[in-house]
Amino acid sequence: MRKSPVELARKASETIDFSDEKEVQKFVGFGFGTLGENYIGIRRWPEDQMMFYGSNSLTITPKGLLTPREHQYGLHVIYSGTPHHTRHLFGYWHINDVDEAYIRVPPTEPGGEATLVIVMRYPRPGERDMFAYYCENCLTLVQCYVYDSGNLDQGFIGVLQFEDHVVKTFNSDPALRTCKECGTVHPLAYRFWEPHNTPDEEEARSLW
Amino acid sequence: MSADEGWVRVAAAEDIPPGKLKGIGVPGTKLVLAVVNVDGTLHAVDSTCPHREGPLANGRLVAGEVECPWHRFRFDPQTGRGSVPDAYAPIPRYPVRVVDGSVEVLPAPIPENGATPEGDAVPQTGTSVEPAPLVHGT
Repeated sequence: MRKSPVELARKASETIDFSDEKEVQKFVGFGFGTLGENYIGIRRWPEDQMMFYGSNSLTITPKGLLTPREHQYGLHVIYSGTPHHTRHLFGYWHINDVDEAYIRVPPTEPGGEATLVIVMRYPRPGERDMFAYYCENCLTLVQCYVYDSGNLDQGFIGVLQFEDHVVKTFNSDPALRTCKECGTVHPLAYRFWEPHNTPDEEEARSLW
Repeated sequence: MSADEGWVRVAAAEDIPPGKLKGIGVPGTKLVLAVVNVDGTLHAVDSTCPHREGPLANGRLVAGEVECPWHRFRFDPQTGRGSVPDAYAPIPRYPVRVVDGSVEVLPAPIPENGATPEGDAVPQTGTSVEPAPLVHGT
């Protein structure tokens, strides 16, 4: 259940003790923990995997399709409203009504895991998460599904359930995946949450 | 109010042929519109995309819909409603007509029920007014 604004404000000064593994585990995985007014997610990957996802992160901006700068570690922000997609990681373009801050931290020892900390403010009423599909050929918006995250008050589990709904819906009919502009059929959608994907959906992960 | 009161000339009709989107600043106002010609019928919508306030006036017409150049959100100019995403926040529409080869708009948005502030449905017709739809190439 979502915490009240008073509770969130009271906990606003809390931080994560990265020396306390039990504490850190609350934020690891695909899930997000709530800390103060923010969602916090922590991902740990081998360094080459971290770089792979970084080099496959795309955004659509007023200047068109952009790949991120080849920075390795540090802070990167995806500003609210920007469609973003990480190839081979999640099978949709996410459009968030709040900013998403990504902090990449190198391994503390050679061969160790790199850390990615994701920070985004808890959605307020009226703020949404959108799941979009753009034509792979001409970048026309093919479909977009809107989740009313700020009003539905279901926490991040609601976003996960909506991801499932989006993937099932988009994959249910080739007509939904066909670009009205050029006729290109979009590859199948797939979930970040791998166990829920069908074999065909997992195969789609290798495509886009 | 007379039939002509408030209407503002914004372009020559020949500048907006079928399939064309033209961005227009309405003289005497701060209004910027995207005026489109869909199969010979003119429509005028507000230039501001409700997603991130991108400039629809710099967008393009795709399958009869106005597409934002920033993130490709699309809107039906006949209703103002978003088509992708479905039922996204609508954009205001404005009355548009062609008079003696000139495109004119009335800088007052059409209410949701489709009636103009004068109580008539668009497109407007009247004395010396060419009835829409506008057909080019003849």
